[in-house]
Amino acid sequence: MEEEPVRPIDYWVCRATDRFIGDEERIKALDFIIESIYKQPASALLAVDLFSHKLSSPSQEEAMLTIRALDYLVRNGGEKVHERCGRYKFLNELVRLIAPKYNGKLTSDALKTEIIKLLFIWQLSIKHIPKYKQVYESLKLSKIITDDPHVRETEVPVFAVPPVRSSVFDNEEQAVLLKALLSSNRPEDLETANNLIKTLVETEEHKLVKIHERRKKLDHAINLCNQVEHLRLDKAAETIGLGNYSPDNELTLQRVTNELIQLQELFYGYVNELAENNDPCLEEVLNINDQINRVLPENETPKCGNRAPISARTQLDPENQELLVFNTPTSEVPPKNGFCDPRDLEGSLLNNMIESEFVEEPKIVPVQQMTPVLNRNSSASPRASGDSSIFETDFLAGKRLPEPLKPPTLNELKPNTTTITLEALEVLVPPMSPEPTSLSPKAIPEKVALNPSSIIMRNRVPIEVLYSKGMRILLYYCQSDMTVSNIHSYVLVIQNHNNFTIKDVNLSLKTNDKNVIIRLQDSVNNLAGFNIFGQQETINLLLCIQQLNDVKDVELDFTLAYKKSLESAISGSFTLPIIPEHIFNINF
Amino acid sequence: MGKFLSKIFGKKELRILMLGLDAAGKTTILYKLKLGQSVTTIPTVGFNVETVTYKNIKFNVWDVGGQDKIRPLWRHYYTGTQALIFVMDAADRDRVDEARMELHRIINDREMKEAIILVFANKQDLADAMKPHEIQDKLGLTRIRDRNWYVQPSCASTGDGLHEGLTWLSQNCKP
Repeated sequence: MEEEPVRPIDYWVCRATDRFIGDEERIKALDFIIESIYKQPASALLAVDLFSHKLSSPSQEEAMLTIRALDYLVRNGGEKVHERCGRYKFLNELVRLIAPKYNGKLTSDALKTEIIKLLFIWQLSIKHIPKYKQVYESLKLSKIITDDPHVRETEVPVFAVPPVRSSVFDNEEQAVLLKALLSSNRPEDLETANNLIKTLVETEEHKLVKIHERRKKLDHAINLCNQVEHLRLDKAAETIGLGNYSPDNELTLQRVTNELIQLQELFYGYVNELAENNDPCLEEVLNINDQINRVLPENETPKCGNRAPISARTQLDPENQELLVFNTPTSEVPPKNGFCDPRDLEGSLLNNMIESEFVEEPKIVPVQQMTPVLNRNSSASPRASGDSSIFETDFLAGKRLPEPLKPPTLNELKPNTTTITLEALEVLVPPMSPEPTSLSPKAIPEKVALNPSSIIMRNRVPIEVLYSKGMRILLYYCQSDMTVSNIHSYVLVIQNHNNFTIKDVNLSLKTNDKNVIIRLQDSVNNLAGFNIFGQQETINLLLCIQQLNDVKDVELDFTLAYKKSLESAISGSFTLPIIPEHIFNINF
Repeated sequence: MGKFLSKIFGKKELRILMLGLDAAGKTTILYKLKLGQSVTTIPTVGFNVETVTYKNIKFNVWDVGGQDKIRPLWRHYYTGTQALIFVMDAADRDRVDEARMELHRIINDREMKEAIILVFANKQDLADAMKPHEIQDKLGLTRIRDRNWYVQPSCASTGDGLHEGLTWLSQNCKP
């Protein structure tokens, strides 16, 4: 059998469609083309393109021979031919020959019939390449093809989906080696081939294990991201008094965050590996990594610890002690009686004696103060009150005046001072700086008032500002319609635990701190005492504090002024005339 | 030279490739033909090759593992194959489509163009095993028009049908 000279593939394409030679010669040429395709798969592209060009030959006979050559090529040429013929570039050339819009009118009926038959067979045979079916269906919809051609079943070949080749079994070096071993007749070579196959299988199984492990890691990361988001929602809910965020949740959040950071490092390895293999899973890994990045940065913010308001309470003890000192000099009762059970009676007698002094000096305004020291300087009282009023007015106006000289009596107010730390006031957001050109910040109004419907109470225990002589002041944390990032709202609650009503209750608040502006609701009320027949009443006042600079605590001075009167034990109240103590003694 | 001597002495030698899905009974068939008795088998990972002489004809039978993950290796055995024995479990109706796809994948390979096709419809002892006419429809054999094919019912454990298959091969194989 003589050996054919090596010729380029276009030579064989011309031979395969040459109408001047016999069928056997044309088939022989096609076999050479197919042989070339198997040796060098890229030949399939060239062969199909050359045949595609031949389709548009002005010779109907040559075009017909091209159609038959393509039929033979698709049946025997393998998957590379199927892929190349299954592109619009090639299929459109067939459509041009049968569509009236293009060359359909120039093409003979016999040729059109042959083309339609070929398209019909291919869309049945090559199901895994969807374009064949798409083109055929669109031609039917366009009425270019009116009826399916009659084709014997034996004319329709079956082309299965090519297997998804795993990299291990597609390794060309291994394939060549295996093929050589299997071609040998020596028993040792066959044994080696068997061992090689077993090795390939083990390698493949190991690869599958790695893929499975990666899948588990990715799913775990998704679960952790969801968990972090849930914990963060719980934490946000707790801030506004809802939910049940707990220290355990905080520990869980930290553990989950650390685990995500470790998984992310593992994923960087996956990305490198998958990018190298151009694996479709790469996109999924990158998406999950993005999800982790969205979750992680917030956890890097250092969390501010919530300081308990214990420090505020320790400030009250010295105050109480000093109050006791003030009471001692004015007491004429023997010291022994001061520690007896009738202490309440003693207090009552003491108050009566003080009021008795006022009666003897009608010039002095009979206003009861919480600062007994003022009574010893009764002649200076009007002046001290005037000075305080002037200072407070100027400060409330927001004018920056030189700090006025403190009158001597202001020093006596120190015992009533209590320090309230802004950290305890839950300052979590950095304050907004006021405009440099504005001396009077307009964000906070001159007067504030409590609107219960707009108040949201914080889920925190209140600060006890005062609890003395039956009078109690509590400071509750809240959010009001005044609250913004640099304005904080609180409710000051005044309680009267005595068994009598007090009148003209007025609480005033002052501070020397230039970093804040305070606004306390202005109110003068009567406050009933304990009554066995009804609920305890309270006076609720709105307090707003605006930060001008970043400051953590503010020292507030307060004065609670009120008048006392006696109340019937049954119900209601009325004012009794004050009777000097010595008259009570004579009656006894 | 070997072929020439074989012709002089009238002894035929055929290279047979036996393929099919896993658990179809390929290895059982091979050793039933070779040893004349049933052997307990484990899933074949590589291949088994034995020479079976029947009626003065030497069959070199290659039994290749059928698990799906090693089917890509089947193509390395195609060279020189004169006949394909495709073994299918006739009682496994759920996987007859898979068997059909694999069969056509094999016979469409250019290196298998010359191979004739013998299908062993194995496990005929089972109650609901498919019969040859049903199998040839489900496997799409009627579409194969460029070569000879035949469906032989068989039972590897008892040996029924196996030698009939070899007889068909010897009568239809081109030398």
